[in-house]
Amino acid sequence: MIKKILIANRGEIAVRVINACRELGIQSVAVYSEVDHNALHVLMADEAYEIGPANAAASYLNIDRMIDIARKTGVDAIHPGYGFLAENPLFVERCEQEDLIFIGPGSKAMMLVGDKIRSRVTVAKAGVPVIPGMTQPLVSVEDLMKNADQLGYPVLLKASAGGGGKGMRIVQKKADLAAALESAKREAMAAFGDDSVYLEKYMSSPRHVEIQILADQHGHMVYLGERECSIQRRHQKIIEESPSTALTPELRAQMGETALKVVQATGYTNAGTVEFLIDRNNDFYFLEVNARLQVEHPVTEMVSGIDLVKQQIRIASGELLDLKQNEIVSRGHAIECRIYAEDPEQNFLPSTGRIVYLQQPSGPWVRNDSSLFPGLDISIHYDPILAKLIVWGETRDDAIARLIAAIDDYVILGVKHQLPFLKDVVNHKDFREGRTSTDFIESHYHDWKPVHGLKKIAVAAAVIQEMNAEHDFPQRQRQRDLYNPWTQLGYWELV
Amino acid sequence: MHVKYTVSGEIFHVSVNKSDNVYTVKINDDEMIFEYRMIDPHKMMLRSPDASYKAIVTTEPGASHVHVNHQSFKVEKIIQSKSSDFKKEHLLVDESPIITTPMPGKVLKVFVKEGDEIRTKQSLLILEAMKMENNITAPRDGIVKRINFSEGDLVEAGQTLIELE
Repeated sequence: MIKKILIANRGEIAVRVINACRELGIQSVAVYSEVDHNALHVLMADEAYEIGPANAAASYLNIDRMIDIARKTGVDAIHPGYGFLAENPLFVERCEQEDLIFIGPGSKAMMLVGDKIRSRVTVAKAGVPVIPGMTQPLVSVEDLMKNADQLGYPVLLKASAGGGGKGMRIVQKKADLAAALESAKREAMAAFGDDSVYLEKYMSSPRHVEIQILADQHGHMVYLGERECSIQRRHQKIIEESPSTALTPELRAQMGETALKVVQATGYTNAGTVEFLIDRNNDFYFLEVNARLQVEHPVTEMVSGIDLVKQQIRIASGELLDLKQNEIVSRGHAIECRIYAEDPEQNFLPSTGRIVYLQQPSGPWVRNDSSLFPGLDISIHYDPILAKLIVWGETRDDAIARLIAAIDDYVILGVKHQLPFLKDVVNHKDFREGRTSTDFIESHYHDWKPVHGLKKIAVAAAVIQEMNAEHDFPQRQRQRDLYNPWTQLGYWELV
Repeated sequence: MHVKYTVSGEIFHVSVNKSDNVYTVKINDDEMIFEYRMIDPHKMMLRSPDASYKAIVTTEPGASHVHVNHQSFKVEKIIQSKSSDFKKEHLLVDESPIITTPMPGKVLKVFVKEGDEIRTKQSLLILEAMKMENNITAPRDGIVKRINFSEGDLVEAGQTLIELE
């Protein structure tokens, strides 16, 4: 069994992995950039080391530095979280050369599934249905025009190395192609260091349903049911749930078996997700493999009762998978919403600032995956995800009601966020009735603005607080709750 | 006490009187009476004759962050004697000739040049922040008088990007 793990990430996912390590009795090593020196993952890990400046390319993406710290701290394994180096085959290869366990698939499988074009061709050969589109990267604008004409508009431009909607553009007509290509390539280059893009037929109003799989190094594999992630903004998932309202037990089994075919065809191991789009006839098409622990993995954990991070670590240690397909059951309903530092009043532009007040919801079956604390600065350097809120209910209706109550209890002051928007979405009649599709936000919330009916009350409260603050509470007492992350401080080493 | 505040662009004229535990707050000719009780240093109950509110308030110099009944606000104080704050107030008007950066980031692309006639919602530039490309659009019709940045520049929030005529 692995004894010591370096977590090559930050934020809530680093905290999540450290928690799994603690429970397994594994030592954890955190890394942090200059601006993250007092982040929660740093305080929670057994050891923490600075990896470089704020700019991710020089810190969290710096392979040499990462390996160097792994060597010096004597870890057996590296957990990459999601994003950053999580799906970088060069990093996986480097770990293999250095005899460090990479908690994820091997470099060959990673290389294959990371190449969206090559993986489409591979799984299609294994009999998996794929969306019509190109089997080669684009070479020129002329090439693009020809292929777009063949597929018929609208078409979808995608980054071959892509993920998270970066480098992705829907193109409605020929005139928009050239501009979309330029901007998609630029975004893909900035996000992945690879600007190859390709075209797919754009499916209108599909559902996004993905299958969680686990595969050990000895040929055993299982699927752990689905997550529906149709509710997206700018190709970013914002609400995920399990089970999906679209799946019958038969369709679920069929998609699960298809996902295992993908695993087999690509030689994939560890935890992974096979993404599908489902059209209105309930036909499903392979979209891509996410070769990592997903942001939305808690949804599966809540309905299956299986800790995916611990499974990842056990599989990476070389253990046999201790799960059997017929013993995996999904119970009740789980929903996750992602809280982003975005300003709904300014078209959801990213927002920065210092968290000055935080109150997170609690209660039965309410889970916060978060690295927030009062005093934390949200900077421009990293993804704007603040936290994830996950609830479980016996039924979907129970889960929705619990989520709404939890959102009502959530208070984040100091940085703009979209919690009121998330509440509106889960409260929507169509969402409640399970009519979801990837264009849900676009069609229902094209021009959403927050309700601000209580501006005057807010002004009154501010004025009253201002006039009171000085006399009623001494300064010392007021500052106390600013520092509560320190109460969670474990052994911690500054280098 | 008579002060001006702004909340997401809207201006409020406020005067306050306190007697014992009761505040009389006059906001834009609307008089409200609140009985208040502090629950902790940031949480308070406000009771007016027809409703009650639970508010969370944190204060920093010049501004407060307020959460009332599931809505969050930043309440900013306007002090007119200082020229910089005067400018801030001036900016709140829609007719502002200045387009400022809504967030810190990097200017990736500029679509307009000085002298261009622009229409409301037209794309002006792409600002990259938090690894996402964000399209900055024109708040109103006008003519571009000055562009203060070029492609590749890093900008702070609130800096003037484009001046209109």
